Amino acid sequence: MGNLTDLFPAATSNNILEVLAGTCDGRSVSVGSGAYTFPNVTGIQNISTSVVNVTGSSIDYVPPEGTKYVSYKFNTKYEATSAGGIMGINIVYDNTVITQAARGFSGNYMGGTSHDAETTISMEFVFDLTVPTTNKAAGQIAPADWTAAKTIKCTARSYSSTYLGRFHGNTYFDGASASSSAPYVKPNLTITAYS
Amino acid sequence: MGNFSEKFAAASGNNLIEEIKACCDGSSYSVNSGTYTTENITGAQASTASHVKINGSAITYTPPAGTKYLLYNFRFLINPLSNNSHSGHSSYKLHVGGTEVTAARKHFSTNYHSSYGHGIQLFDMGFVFNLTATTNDVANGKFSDWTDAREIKVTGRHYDSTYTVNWHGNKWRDGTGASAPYVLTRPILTLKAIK
Repeated sequence: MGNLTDLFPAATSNNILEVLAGTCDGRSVSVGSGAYTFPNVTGIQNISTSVVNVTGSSIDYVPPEGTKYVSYKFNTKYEATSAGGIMGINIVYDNTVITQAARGFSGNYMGGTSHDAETTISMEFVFDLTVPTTNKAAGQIAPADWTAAKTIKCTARSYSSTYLGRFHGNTYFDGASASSSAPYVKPNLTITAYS
Repeated sequence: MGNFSEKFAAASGNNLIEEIKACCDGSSYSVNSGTYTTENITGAQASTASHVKINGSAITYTPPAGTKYLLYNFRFLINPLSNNSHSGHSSYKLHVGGTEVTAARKHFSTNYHSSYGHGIQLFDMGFVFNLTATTNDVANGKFSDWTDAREIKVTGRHYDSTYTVNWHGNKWRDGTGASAPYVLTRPILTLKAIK
């Protein structure tokens, strides 16, 4: 028989209950709250003036018992394909837009030519589970209302048909067109549950 | 006398084995898997037409026993080097143990301007390495034998000599165009070992 401390490790001050992190390649990951399959992003995603789910951003998550805060972080690339590529992107919880997480992106306006802007986009929000009543739009979720899996995702649309863009793509790479060497990059998705 | 579980709390579902989050200022961090010293960024770094290591991105890391997933992220600043650098077209690669993780390739650019290359942005190079693979597939960030110290780093290059950038230095700030040495934005390096 081992020491008691081997069998029952002393509690620490660590307030992270679990980290669910993955590159979006279809992998399955098991953590304390359950088993999750990450989306598998296999190419670029063009967007237009209709709101669409950003591929790779969606996960159906249920926090472990005792969770007070849930951090959602989604990191990928976005690039303009016409003019500045102006777009709006939101984090959506259980079909409700988190209004405080809304953001826009644009490169400088260049008319119809030289729309070269491409960079990383990081969408992040921390849900507050210490509230007594749920206000989804504010990201405040009463613990009793999040005991089953809820979908967290990003949605996006272009400003207008003049300002189009796409996610996950590399237009250029190493001094040439990226069409053969780096056509797209897989996003990274990280969920952290805190007590 | 109470129950054992009151005195020796059972281990929780915490699956984060260790985390390093560091500004690249030469500081040392001791965690369970060892002591790591970040690179000390002391100035802006100019790009070339060949891939070079982005200062601050390198760490030689040994995952602790039981690590299933290793999150690496390097957030750094990109600034076109001069007005005539147009858009700062530059390409980035991630490497582990001297082999490129091609799935992580990213390209950066702001929109083109013939004489005002002002675009300054933070950029993320990251990946969640899968250490549960049955065979190595480094190009896709999958490892079956990563129990030793391996260098992780990011390299970058500009598209061609008309699109030069500097890394870590801010040319435009507080109402003036600065001359070298530029005000630094230290990169932030993050590693999370997850079981």
